[in-house]
Amino acid sequence: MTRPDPITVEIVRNAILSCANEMKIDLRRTSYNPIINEMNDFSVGIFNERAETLAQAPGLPEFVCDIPSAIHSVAGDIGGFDKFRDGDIYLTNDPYANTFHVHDVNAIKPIFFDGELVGFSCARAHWHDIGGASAAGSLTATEVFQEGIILRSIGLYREGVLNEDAMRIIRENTRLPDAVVGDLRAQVGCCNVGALRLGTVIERFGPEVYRACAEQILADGELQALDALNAVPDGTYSAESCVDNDGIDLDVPLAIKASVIKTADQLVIDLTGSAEECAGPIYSNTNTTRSMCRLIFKMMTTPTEPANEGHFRMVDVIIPEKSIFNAKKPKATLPGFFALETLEDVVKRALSSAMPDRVNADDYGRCTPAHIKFIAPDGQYLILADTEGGGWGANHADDGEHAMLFGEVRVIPIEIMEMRYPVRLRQYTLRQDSGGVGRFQGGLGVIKDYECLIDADLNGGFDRQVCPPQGILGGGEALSNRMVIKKTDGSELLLPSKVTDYPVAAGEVISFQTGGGGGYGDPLERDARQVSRDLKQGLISKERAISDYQIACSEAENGADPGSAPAEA
Amino acid sequence: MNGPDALDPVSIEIVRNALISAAVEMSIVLKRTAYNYIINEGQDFSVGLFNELGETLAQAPGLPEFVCDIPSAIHSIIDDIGGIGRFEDGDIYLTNDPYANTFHVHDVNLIKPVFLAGALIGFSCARAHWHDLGGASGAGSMQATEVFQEGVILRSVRLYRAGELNEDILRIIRENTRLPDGVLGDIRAQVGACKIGEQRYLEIVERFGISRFQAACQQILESGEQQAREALARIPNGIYEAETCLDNDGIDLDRPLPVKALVTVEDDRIDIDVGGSAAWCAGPMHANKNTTTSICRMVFKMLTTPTEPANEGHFRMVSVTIPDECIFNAKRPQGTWPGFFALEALIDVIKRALADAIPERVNADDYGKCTPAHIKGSYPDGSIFFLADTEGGGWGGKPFEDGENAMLFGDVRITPVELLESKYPVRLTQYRLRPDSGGPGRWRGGLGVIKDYLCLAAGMNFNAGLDRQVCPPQGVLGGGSAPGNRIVIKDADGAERVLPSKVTDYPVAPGQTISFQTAGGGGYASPSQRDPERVAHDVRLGLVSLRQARLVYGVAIDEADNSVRLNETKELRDSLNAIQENGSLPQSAACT
Repeated sequence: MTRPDPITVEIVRNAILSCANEMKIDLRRTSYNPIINEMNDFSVGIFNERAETLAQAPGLPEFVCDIPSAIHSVAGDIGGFDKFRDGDIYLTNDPYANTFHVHDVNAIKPIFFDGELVGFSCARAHWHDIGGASAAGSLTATEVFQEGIILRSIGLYREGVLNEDAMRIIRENTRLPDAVVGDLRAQVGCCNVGALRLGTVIERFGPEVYRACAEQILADGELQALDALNAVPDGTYSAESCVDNDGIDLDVPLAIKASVIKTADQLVIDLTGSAEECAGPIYSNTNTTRSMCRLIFKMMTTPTEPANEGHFRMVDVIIPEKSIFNAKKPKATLPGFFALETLEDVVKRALSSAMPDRVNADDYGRCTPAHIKFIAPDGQYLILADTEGGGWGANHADDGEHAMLFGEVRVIPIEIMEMRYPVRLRQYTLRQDSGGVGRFQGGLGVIKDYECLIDADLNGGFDRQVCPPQGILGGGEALSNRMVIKKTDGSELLLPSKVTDYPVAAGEVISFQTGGGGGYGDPLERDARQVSRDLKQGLISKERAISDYQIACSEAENGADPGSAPAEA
Repeated sequence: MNGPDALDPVSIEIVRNALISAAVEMSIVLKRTAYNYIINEGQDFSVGLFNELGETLAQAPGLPEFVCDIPSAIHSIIDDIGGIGRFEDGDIYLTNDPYANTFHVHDVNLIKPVFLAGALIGFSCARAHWHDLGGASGAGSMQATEVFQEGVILRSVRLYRAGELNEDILRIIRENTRLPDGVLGDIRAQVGACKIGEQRYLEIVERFGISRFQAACQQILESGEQQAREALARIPNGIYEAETCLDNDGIDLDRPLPVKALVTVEDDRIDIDVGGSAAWCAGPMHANKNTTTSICRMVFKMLTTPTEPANEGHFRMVSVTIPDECIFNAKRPQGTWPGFFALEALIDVIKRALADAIPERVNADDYGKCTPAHIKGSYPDGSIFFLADTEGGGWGGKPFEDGENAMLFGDVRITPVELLESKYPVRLTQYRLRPDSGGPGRWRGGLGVIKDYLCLAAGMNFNAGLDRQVCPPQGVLGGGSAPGNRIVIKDADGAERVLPSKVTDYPVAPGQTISFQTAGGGGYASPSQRDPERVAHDVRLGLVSLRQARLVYGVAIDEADNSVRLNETKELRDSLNAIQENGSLPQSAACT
């Protein structure tokens, strides 16, 4: 194969990226559920004929490079890559091979050019409901059957012909048939657009040049990542945290532990020592776990480059046979992301001394799923889906971000919430003192209060209460996530970290309170002007200014002078 | 019937019996090839042949609750797919839509259209209970509030399209059951049963020719109609009613759900109105209109032409009135799994309503019949097991004899103790008749049973429903009521506690015993009319206690030789009769 010139490679690389971006626009504009078109809980991309990621549109970073496992598992189930036919579209949501949980459904379209398989266009999206014991998904299931239906390697289209019977099963087994079927059609359209555009790219450059460019894109990705990896000193680094509990046995925290072993041109992440098993649903499969480790590696090495398979060729992940990161049927997996999100922090923290300028402190715990569910007077299900932003860990140069979600995931606008669902937002504010103290302070979490106007049921998961987000290099820990019910008589009730179908009466307020990020560096090194500005803005309390940052009380009240040093203790 | 296609009565009988034989052969094939013993031992299935309009031509004896309910499955598929013209030769449809055609999602119909020379001429169908279909609880929750918690809905789905297996559908089924090998084996058995039915159907048609065959079928339905009309004529015109209740809906445990029937007989029509029964509830005590209608038809059949194999003709004079917001008119997404409690109660209510009108045809209330019990756990290798049982109980006393003891319903059979003990970590420590559980009467209700499962493995739990505790089985025409069903947990130290009437995933530890105690049947006519010698015989057999003999039957029995003391008995009965004239009905005395 001749090596294509760098300019052509760049044109092809950006053309494929454009395909992925167009898929994303298509999916967002045509999907029904705000969880997809507002929150961006999806992932789309273009893959080569070996199912390696060529381009993925920015979306949920947790899904980076996880779709190849979906393509591989479909190929495995149907008897090999040579069983794909032009016009096929497969669905898979197998939580033991390729997704976080059954609600994440992959649509996979093999792309043919001149009768030959040249790649895949794929769209994964979060379906709002897929049956199971609890609307929108239980957070405390003990078996996958309670979480929703499993669609494993289902040919929704075969050679262009819709399998109406499979479509009927999907429609009948969701509480939100119109929206879910609408979203499925959006995924199909999105895959078709990706295939069409990739065909145009191949046609323009010719299959041979295209193929050579695609290989070069991956080789370039590998080189970039290897360069970045060289900056990490060889060594073994480890850290740990925990998930509060499995939602069933509330008194047993689940350990999350990672050892990172860096040798010349390889990075191995070993998860031995993490919890081995639990009754509840805190499981994830090995492919998804591996993809999460790749994501962290990418964040720390080549964060600004669009991801492709090449970026990960030097990363290996060791997962013991008996591990919550090695889910086996029928273990439940819906909120297994609590363990994965915690794992991200643990890997980052392990590497904090090795690459202090690349790592930030622990984040707030990120995925804080909240579904407030109503039955409308006409009997229809109304399922409000939210996930709250929180504080991110501070880094070597800056405070952590406040109230931020992750990747392209966005907060659904309040106007949409109040218009679509019987709720009123009573309060949406930064949570004072929630960021970890430090030379650079962790970002703040939020308080978001939903008053329910009719009776509701709540599924919510706000983990990281037992092991709150930690600071690094001397920084302090942050406040953790929590859910509070404010009764009409003014009393408040703190909920366990995961609840399923928790009843909330009309007039009661659900208060989601997210954690902050951990602090970075010694708080006494923080610029006093920053402290006093935080105080003025209400981000920290007077008590915190005095006790943690040791700013004199008068200064705290009046605002510190520019240039004044921290007071002596 | 006249005309060129008219058949002589002998040929019609040959066609009729050939169809019945074909249905019976389907049933044998299904039983011999099914994997789950809920089908091959419990016989929780129904097979039959149907004409091109979906009318029942012949059904094999099986679960009587399913009599003539399969047509609704055929009709709902026709509606869903856009008309009868959409069927292709070689199709096999699945449907378990609990809002159109089944008790609950676990009853899955396989429907195979039968074609002759490109024309649709009928259907061969096999319905069977699948052991697990996903959902919140293995084998099916007794307390779901939505169908999604009960299992996967397969509504009008083609398993085969023009003879070609729809592998994707099979894959969805395999992935969404806890018992994939058993359930897939059962599907194949159902497919086999449908194919045998189709083959035999075609043979019969070929032997007689299609037009003569169809003429014979018309004649079969018409003679069914004729038989039923003659029997209906023996019921005096009038309006009859009765009621009972279900304990609760499994969610709100303090609120019983009334089940009521108003039966109107007017010349050659009978209408059963279930209005007055409970409105929609939070729990799963719902049944759809078609299934409710089918249950009403079954009761009608029992009371009119009980010995004739059923066909559609037997029901042409029956109508059923069901209000909109009623537990007998399930709407998506309500739970329906144990809706049969309401249907079984409805059977008793209709019978009881007609007791005065046709006392010679009616027996008293039965024990409640379906008492599902699933004991679940895992084997040492981690694979899971579900022990499925449903207990027999006492049937109501009859106009001419006592009710049966410890009987199930239709062809449904009890799973042998030997099989249960060899397959599952349980030991049956007791299985016997429950003394004094039969409702007293001139003809005593049958006795329920006590069946004690000692649990041997860790981590077991069970789902069960033994309803009819608030309104136990009633007697008729002066007969007494029987004690209700109940579930008791016995700890290793001997402590006992009674559970609510429906439990889901209730945990049991090794050494604990689950005791299923079923109700008896109600009594028929006043117990003071019972022959004292029969009472003495019951006492000798241990079916009735001395205390009950004395207090309820008014029979004094000599403890030494169990003989009747005639003088004392006469005195007792005189005083009992005086009490009864004051309006209080006899009850079964407290049961041991």
